Amino acid sequence: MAEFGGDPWSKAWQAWIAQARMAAKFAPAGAPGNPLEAAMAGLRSFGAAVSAAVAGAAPQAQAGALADYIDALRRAGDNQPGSEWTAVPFLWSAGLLDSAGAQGWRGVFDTGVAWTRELLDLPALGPQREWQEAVKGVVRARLAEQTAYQQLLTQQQRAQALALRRFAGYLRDPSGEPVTSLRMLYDAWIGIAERAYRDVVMDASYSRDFGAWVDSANATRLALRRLEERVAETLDQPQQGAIETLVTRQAELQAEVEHLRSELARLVQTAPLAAVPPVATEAETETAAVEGTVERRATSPKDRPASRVRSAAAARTTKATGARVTNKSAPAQRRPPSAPRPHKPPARHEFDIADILGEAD
Amino acid sequence: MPRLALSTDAIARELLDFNQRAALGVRTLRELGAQRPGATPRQPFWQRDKVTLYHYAAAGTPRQGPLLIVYALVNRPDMADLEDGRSLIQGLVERGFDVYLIDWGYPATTDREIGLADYINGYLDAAVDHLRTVLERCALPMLGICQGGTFSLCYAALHPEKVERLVTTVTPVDFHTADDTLAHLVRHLDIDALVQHRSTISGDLLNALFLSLKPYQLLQQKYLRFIENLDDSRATAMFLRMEQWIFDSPNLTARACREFARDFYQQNKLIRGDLEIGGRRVDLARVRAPVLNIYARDDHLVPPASSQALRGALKGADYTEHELAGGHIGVYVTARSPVAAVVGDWLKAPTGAAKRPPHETG
Repeated sequence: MAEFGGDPWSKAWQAWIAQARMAAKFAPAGAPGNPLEAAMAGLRSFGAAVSAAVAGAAPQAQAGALADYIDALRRAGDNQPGSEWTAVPFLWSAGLLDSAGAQGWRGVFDTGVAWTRELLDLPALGPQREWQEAVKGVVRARLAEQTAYQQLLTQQQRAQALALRRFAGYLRDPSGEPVTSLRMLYDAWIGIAERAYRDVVMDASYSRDFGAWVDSANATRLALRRLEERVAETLDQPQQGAIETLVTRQAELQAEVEHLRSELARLVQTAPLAAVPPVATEAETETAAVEGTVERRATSPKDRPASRVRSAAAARTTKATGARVTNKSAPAQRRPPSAPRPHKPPARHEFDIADILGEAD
Repeated sequence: MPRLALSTDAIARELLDFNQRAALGVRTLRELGAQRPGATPRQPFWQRDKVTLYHYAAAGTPRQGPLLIVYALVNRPDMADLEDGRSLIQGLVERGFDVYLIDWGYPATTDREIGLADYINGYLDAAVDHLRTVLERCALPMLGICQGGTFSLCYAALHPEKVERLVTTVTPVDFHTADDTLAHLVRHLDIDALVQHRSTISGDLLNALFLSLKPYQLLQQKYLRFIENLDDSRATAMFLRMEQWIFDSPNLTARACREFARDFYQQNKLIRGDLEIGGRRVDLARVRAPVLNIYARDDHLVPPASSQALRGALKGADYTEHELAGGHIGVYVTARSPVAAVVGDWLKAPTGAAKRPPHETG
């Protein structure tokens, strides 16, 4: 709508009207069509939900008022496409933005996007042409990411609306276990909302939208990276691409060394023992220290490798393959174990490890 | 009977009680300070690069021999030894097992080229060989946790002569079951673009993905319950240890992330028999070791059906399946977790008798 203009008095008046429209969202079904009356009905509906709980009204009346309120919230969502809400995320999260206002915001957003895209379509010119292209790449990617993100937020709004609908139904259903505390009410909401969220997430369209958003975020990162490389090049700074090449080369060399080490180990193992120098290396000494403290488990012949020759050959293998054996006499890193304690139930039955892990279904 | 049965008095009492707990809880937090996981003494036993093999010496009798635990690359292995009374390792050590645990460490930017072949045929195989040499054994019993279970399965298929028995716990095998939310979310990602020009994939990013599977419980409800229980210092300490474990997430190397996400989650190559690691095909039918497959009934990360698919893939191997009540991590760290008992009983049983259902639980 984008009608906020003119002098301050007009702005204040229009802001008041906008507030009234928001309140009208909470009007029960069948409320008067007059905006002012609808706004008042909405406020009454919301107030009734609160005062019913505070005043200890008849439980059925409480449930009805609260369910009406939840329904009003949901209807506020149903009346507008998600893209409108998501144009202004903080208002979307509050769920309070009126449809006309949202369209106004959306209009501003769309105009901005269209204008930016037109600029991006202009060919780059002049000595700074390559820089312009790099910057345009970032902006283009960022716009695509915004669009993909809005689509994902639309999906999440679907989940929220579904959760609200189910929660209102839960409150109206008198057949289940009575809700006797705020905690029970909250837990019921969490359970219902989580299931609704999962139902939406498991839809094929969510997976596609999620993938598109992640991919678009990656495209932005890569575009930024190209720009960053260009800046680094100008400043004669090391570029990440060069470092990556070095790391790759290092990995190749490491693989080659590993291969040569295993070849060496094989040759050493098959060589006659007499050819082995008699002086123990540092690694051999450490290995012997480890072996001295490790209780042997191999008690039956089947446990022993038939061809294994212990001691020096094994230590040579360890040395040749580059493994480092840590001395067993190093101080313990952790506190000693105490005797097993009898299990004591948690102080409150509702709190356990499953709560921390979200596995308390 | 109406659904809402709230009274003003009850609401006021509840709010007052909540506020009091929150106020008192500040004192509990100040007294407790930082909490770190870990209950069982251990020694570093072997190390290569950032990978460390720890040894937890057997404390109980009779001695049962070694057991090598292979943990996942995501998160730290501290979960296996969270605290006194909530520790898989403690339970195994008290049952007479010498436990060895592979800690993969924290990959750095220079580790971007480390892939699954390096982890499975490199580090894991080297650790196994070292243990075989030092302990004078042809083969070792292994226990894999989650992704570590998948690694153990691959290892047992590629090096069947080195695995004596295999326990897989909450291990994904079929990544395309209908109820696999994580697989569903990553199905349409361009994995190559995700890791392109990245050295590692941030652990925080992975955590955000895991949290998005249950956002209402994991980002809201859990903290409300935490505040409610702040006056209980034992429960608070446990919560803080879990928080430390959950958010102490190592990065994944770019290559390992790409290979695991693409080959396992997107293309489901393990169960299809198309997986290659280090140029060799991973054929689960080649697993010779008897297998105990433990899964969690309420696992939201690895659905039971994903783990149960192992039965068909092993093609007649000595296979035992065991379902436990609980969730993906809860099965290990809940008080009186039965996992150590189930594993211990199965490992102690003669091979032929391993098919007998172990230790009734759940």
